Amino acid sequence: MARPIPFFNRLSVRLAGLILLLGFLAVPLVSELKRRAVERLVLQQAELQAATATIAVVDNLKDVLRSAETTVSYLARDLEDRALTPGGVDGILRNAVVSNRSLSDCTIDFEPFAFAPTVEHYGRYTRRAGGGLTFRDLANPDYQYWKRPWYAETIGRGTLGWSEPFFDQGGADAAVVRVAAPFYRTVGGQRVPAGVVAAGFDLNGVKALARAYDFFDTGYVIIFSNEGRLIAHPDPAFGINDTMEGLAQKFDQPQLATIHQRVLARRQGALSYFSSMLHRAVHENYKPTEIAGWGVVVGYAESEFLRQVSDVRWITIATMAATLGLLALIVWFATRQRLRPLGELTDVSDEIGRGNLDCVILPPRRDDEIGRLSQSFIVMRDVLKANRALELQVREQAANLVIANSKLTGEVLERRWVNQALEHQLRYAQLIIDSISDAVIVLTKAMHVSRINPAVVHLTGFEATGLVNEPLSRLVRPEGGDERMADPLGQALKEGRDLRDLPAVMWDRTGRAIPVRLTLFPLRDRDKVVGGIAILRPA
Amino acid sequence: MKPLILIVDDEPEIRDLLSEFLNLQGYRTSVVATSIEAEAAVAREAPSLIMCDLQLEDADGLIVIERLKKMVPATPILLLTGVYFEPHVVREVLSKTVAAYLYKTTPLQEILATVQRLAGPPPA
Repeated sequence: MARPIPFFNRLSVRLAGLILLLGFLAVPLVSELKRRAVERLVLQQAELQAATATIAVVDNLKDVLRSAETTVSYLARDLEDRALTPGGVDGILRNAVVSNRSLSDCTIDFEPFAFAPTVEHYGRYTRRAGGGLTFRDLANPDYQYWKRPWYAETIGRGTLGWSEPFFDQGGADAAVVRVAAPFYRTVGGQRVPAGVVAAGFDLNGVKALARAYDFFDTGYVIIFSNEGRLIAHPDPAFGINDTMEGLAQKFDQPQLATIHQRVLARRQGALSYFSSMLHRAVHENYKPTEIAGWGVVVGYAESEFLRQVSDVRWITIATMAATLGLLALIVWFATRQRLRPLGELTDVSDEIGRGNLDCVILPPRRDDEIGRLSQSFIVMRDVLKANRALELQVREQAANLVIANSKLTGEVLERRWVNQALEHQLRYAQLIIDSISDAVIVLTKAMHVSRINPAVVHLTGFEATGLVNEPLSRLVRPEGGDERMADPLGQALKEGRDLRDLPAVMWDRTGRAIPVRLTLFPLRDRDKVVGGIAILRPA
Repeated sequence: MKPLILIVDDEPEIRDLLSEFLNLQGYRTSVVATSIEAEAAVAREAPSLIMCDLQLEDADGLIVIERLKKMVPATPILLLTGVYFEPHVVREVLSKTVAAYLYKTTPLQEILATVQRLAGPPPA
């Protein structure tokens, strides 16, 4: 059984892990880049929308202000060189307020004796109240319109002008802004001021207009006057007694003063900054109204859109992570499928490594790298099998050779041992024979000399080479016998009998006869006479 | 440790042949030719078996055997000689002196069997 590869060591898992790792390194980077791009895009869109909203607010505001200006201008022209009665003045006022819904009040006030030669001061005022109109005399001692700045300034200016927002105490009894214009009479060929016509509208209407713009969740509108007084502000605590400069100083927010100054310079633009007043980063578009010297700011919290971007970012990360996980899964699965033959080859290599050369190697499925590897494994296994068979054969033959060699060595040693033993025995036997002082002659069965001892050489003078294979009768004969007398010795040997101490004659090398006593013993080998031994002693 | 066999013989061919054979069978051997060399060899290391010839150049084998027995009483002695002794002589006389007697014409395998019996088998 092949040893299983640990899960985390598998190529498919490592590849999937690598993709996951690279992905998790890349996802935050890509996500951050995308976040920044989306953030830039979203903020640009928001800025565009805010700019559009600013234009819309300004246009609407201009419509309101222009209608007031138009009404006042029309009245000023209408009043010029016109003789009026008290009822006529009230009628003009009624018509003006009723015809212009944006106006909250209207007044016509005359220069001394301009209304009538007998009337020094005449001023009429009307305002909306309870669904109708109320009229008041502004020349009454409590008001005395000619002493009011707006009147004097208008006569002095000589043209239409807008007042700063103010609380019209005793008049509208509300925060108002008033547009006023002088009207004239020709006296003695000269146009001289005859009075002032003025109209105002309740700033609550402007505030309502500002609130009416519901763009974004955090969007807001600020409307401020020429002097920077706050006509509309998202925080209702701030009103006409507060100015842009005052807020800038109070909240250490110089951007507000900057906006005011730029509006005064009739410039429009945008600023992004952290509002310590609103406690968030804001983007504000500003634009002058070109009427009344007002300015409009449309702002919003960038966080509203950044939150969306953040949401998008997390969605992006989650999507990418999910995609990455899916990709890793696909890679793991696909790699596992594609590498399965490789895994099988790994198992096969384990088997081969353990010596199992009979393992099954599936034939290549495709002619690719793995297929080639599989084919190589098959060839390698077959070669190894052939080598193993050859090795076994060689080993077997070597073992046989060792056995044969050992056997041969043993046999050689045994043979050497036997030979030395025989040699030793022969030498020992020869030693015994040679040590005997009597002449000893070893005979063959045919009575020929086969061996002599040194005593024979000493006694006869013959060397062994001269006697071996010679008949015994040439050397010795029984006493008194002739050549034929050798027969008793041969006969005794043939019969296996001993002849003891027989008188005989031996001849030496010189031919001298030497009388000796002869004893003959038959030499037996397992009861069979194979030769004899003759012992000769000098008589 | 392989058993040590001390071979005492005055014939070098026999000494060498026996030594070669026993070495092949897994024994250590020490070969000497004289009684003096034999005593020196025993003094150096007590052998597991002494194989001694009867006829040495400098002494009679039986006398040498007696001296060696005094030096290493526990070591068995095998008398390996070309002198033939009758069985009853071996039984009644030699068996009191030596642990075994073998004639020199005895086949090597039989000699080995006797050596293994007396000295123990060599380690595998």
